[in-house]
Amino acid sequence: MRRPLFVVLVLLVGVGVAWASGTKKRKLPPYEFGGVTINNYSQQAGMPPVVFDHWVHRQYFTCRLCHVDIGFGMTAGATKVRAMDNMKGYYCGTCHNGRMSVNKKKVFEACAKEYSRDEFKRCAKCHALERDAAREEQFYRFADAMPKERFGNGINWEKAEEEGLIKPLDQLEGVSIMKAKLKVQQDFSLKTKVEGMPDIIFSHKKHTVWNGCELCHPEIFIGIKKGTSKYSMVELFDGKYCGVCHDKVAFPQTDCLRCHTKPV
Amino acid sequence: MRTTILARMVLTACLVLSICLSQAYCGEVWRTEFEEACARTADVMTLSDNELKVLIGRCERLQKVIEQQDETARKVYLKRLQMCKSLYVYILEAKNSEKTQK
Amino acid sequence: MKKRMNSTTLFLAAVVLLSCLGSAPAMDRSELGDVLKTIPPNGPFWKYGTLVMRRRTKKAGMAPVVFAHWSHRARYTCRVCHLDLGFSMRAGDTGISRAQYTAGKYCGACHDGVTAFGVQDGEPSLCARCHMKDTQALEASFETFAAPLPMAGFGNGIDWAGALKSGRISPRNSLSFAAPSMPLPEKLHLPMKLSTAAPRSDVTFSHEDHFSELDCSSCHPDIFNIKKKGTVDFSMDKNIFGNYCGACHMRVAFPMNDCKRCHPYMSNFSGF
Repeated sequence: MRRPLFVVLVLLVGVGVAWASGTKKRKLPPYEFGGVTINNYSQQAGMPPVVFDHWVHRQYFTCRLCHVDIGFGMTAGATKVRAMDNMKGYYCGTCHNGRMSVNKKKVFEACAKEYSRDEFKRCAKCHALERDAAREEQFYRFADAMPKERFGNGINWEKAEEEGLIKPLDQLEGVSIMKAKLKVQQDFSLKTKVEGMPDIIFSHKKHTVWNGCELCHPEIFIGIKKGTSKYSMVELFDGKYCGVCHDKVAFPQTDCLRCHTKPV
Repeated sequence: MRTTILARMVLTACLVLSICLSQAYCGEVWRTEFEEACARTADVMTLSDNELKVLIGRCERLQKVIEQQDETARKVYLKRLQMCKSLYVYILEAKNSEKTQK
Repeated sequence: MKKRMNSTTLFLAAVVLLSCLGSAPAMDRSELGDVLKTIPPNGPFWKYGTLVMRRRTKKAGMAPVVFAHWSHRARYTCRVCHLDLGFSMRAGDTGISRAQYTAGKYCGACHDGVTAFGVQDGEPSLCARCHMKDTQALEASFETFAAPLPMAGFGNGIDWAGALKSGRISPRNSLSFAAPSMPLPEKLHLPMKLSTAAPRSDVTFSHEDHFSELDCSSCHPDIFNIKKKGTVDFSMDKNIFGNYCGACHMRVAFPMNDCKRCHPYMSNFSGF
């Protein structure tokens, strides 16, 4: 009895996948881009899943701070953060401890063993039941002041940082190993396979503003000598290499000209 | 009889105390050791083979210590350590492969 | 008993499977029926590519918005709205609200009383230009609109690609900020031949024609993934249900009963 049911399920899933091909995926509205839903333990604990917005955080902090120093993984749910971890002052609790302040505003405290009806409002800031219209408002107010871009959040984060409109913090006392500024490695170009397609200019500089070496090497990019690794757009769109960040949080890879920049 | 009990109690107390002390002590030591061992990820390209090997060795020893820590600290610091150690190993390999090619 | 149960489940599975095959996520049968009704010769030219949006307007007690693609595409390429302004390609996905409109998003980007008519200055009589109680005015304006444009037998009755090439229309390719334009790689300038089961039905596809209206990302990698063998189930059947080419060429771009446009060796007429 079990097995046929399983077969049915597999077939149905298969059909679903087959029929989903050739259609346009829903384009995320700018404020939803980079949103991550985390549901490792939330629902078990009687809470809605956490909806994490990258746009809120990346105005104030670099990718490196959270993904290297605080130890967050690069895929949704991979880190398996527990409420207890936050309460001990790790992960979200590193900053969301009720003591730290950003822009003279106290960062609300994350997670508690017990909470009153009033305190539950604080829980619902991350354990969001539904999209918050006020937050959407807040996004557009923020985004309107930032350099525009056609894709992703509709914000050109790179330019925003360059122009000093945002000053993301890279190190946190007591958490980060305080280091001297990273020595920037040289930019290089990557040849494309298609004749007449502009080559890619990869800028280490643009990446090290937000990241450290260990975030990409060797886990995401193992190739050392230029030209030894071949990357294809198919793999990239499958979420490998550049696709680990781009498409999900950093500007999407459909924005061809952001990378294919070398004049032909 | 009574003396043996007393002696045992003293002994256990000592043991418990020493464990507590060493753990707390260890806690301090491994964190500073971690901060030192992983401090070179930003200028990793300037390190010599020997320096890299020493750092990798330190990371390996540190791994064993971190594995003894409580759940959360273990999870966070093992990940951080693994990232920095992998980078050192990666750069060392890169240098060696460059040499052999030459 | 157990064996019978097994066979019943398998039978059920087959039934469910078949019924699934009959429907597709892009468009279901009833939707397709509606589409087919609007495709000439079944529907009038003005109606093709004209969308009625009533999901939100109904709640607000307004007449539905009737949006004619034809009145817009003479002035702007597809990519201006579907890329720069963020309009989804699927009905109901965008979720435009009045607040967004007045803030200059979506329709409000042009319909602000400056570039095109708008209601921001509190002119309620203009509401009805989009929130239409009836479509008479729209129908009437189509006649004058289409008169100077080259004729086609299907869709809007307008050969849009021809109009663009001959310069009868010169739609803008971007709005406020200069859109970077990527040079089209050499080999994509040439028409691409797609083989089918019979040589008579082979397809000639032009990247160039599509690129003049769209961006790479409009089709890749969602609609056409770029794996060579990735589009195994690319068939006419799927197209008609709004997948692949059908994403545009059933409701807005020329419809697929205009066979010759893609299958140049085929005839549009089936025996008379």
